Amino acid sequence: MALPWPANQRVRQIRLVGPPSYSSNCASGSYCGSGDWGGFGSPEQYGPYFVESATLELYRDGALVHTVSVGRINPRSDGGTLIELATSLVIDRLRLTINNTSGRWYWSQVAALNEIEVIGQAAEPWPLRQIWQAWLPLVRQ
Amino acid sequence: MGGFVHLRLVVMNADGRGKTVLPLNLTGLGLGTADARDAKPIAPRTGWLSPPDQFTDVAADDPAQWNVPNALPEYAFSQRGLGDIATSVIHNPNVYANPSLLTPFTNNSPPPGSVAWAELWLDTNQFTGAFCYPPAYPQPCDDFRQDNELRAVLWDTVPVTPAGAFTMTVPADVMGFIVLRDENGRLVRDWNRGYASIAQGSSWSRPGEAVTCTGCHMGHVSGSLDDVLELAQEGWQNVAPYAVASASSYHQTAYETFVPGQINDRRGWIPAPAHGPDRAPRLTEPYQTGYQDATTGWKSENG
Repeated sequence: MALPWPANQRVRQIRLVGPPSYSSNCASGSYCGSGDWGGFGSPEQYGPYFVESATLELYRDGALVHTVSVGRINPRSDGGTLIELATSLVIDRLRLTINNTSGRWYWSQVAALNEIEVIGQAAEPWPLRQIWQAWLPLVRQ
Repeated sequence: MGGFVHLRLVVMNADGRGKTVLPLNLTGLGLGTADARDAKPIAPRTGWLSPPDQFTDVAADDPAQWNVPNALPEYAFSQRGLGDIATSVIHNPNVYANPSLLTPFTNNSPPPGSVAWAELWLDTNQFTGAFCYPPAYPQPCDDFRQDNELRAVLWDTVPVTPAGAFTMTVPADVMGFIVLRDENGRLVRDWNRGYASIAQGSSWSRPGEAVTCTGCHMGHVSGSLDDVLELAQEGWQNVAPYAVASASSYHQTAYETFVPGQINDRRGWIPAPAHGPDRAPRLTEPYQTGYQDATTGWKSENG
């Protein structure tokens, strides 16, 4: 999974959020067909499923700036998985490679990531919109 | 009510814990399907002290006494000159601030680094006048006050720092809204909700006050910044929404719930309750079944 920005961002922490676990959203008498309410699995039979390890790579101008090894990616109910950088870094691209998963969805191994949050700020101005001029022909009535 | 959303009234502690659903049964009044939409709390809170009342005086309702200077031609009716009006200070430490993932709403601010200028437009006349469509519709036309066609008036333009902060002296007790512009003076675009202005408010500050507003809040869709307020006021925010997400593979559904673009885009995202939806969606219903505003572009945890 990749997140490229059109302008450099100074980032200091990244939060990865996995799908809700079956146990956190299934109560007696309610609808609980799966770990994310019918969308992506039947973990009561085949799950739960997690990303167990991943590699987070931060790039600037195509060059690798920093690499972080990530463990299990937790659901939002557990606060997700927070990666705090020792110092803020200027990047323009983030890449997450999933290395290992656990659990299954419908007999298949899956890798699921629900959300990502990147705490940062502008390291340079956002690119201005290109203003195009169109010269239209005059049409006589 | 006839919609999919059935509202219940819940009491809770000040920290949001201890939620208890209040029973509501109006069958005896012939309102068996009524819900808590219009409920008003009537039980006094205990263990809580209200902040001290800092009320000083009532803002003038007479336009001639408003804090708008008659030096501006639009406000020639005012009895106050530029040096006579009461003012206050509004400070925004970070117009880019976004709520965290732990709250329902995010993506409510322009892209970081996009704003160069903040304008305040006074909007004292948004409720004055009405247009009576001739001939004589609707009656009684004669009782209508003709629209004076006085719209928002530009008060001031101030620079916005790279971290998104600006400070401005504003007329007190006056309605207005703020417009964010880029360094070319154009409206800032590319934020996921695409507003033309922020912080539309009715008299947001009293004379002599210094008001701090963080982010580009828009009423009930703004979400809370409480859990990230310190970060936000230091100029940090979630910048993921302004990237273009892609993935090597993903699960495709009819409603594109799992496309990569959803991973950093929570427009109108409404969390499903901890125990999951109360019931499974019916085939005849929209795919949101109570956890999603049907407005285009709004997504829910349920898809």
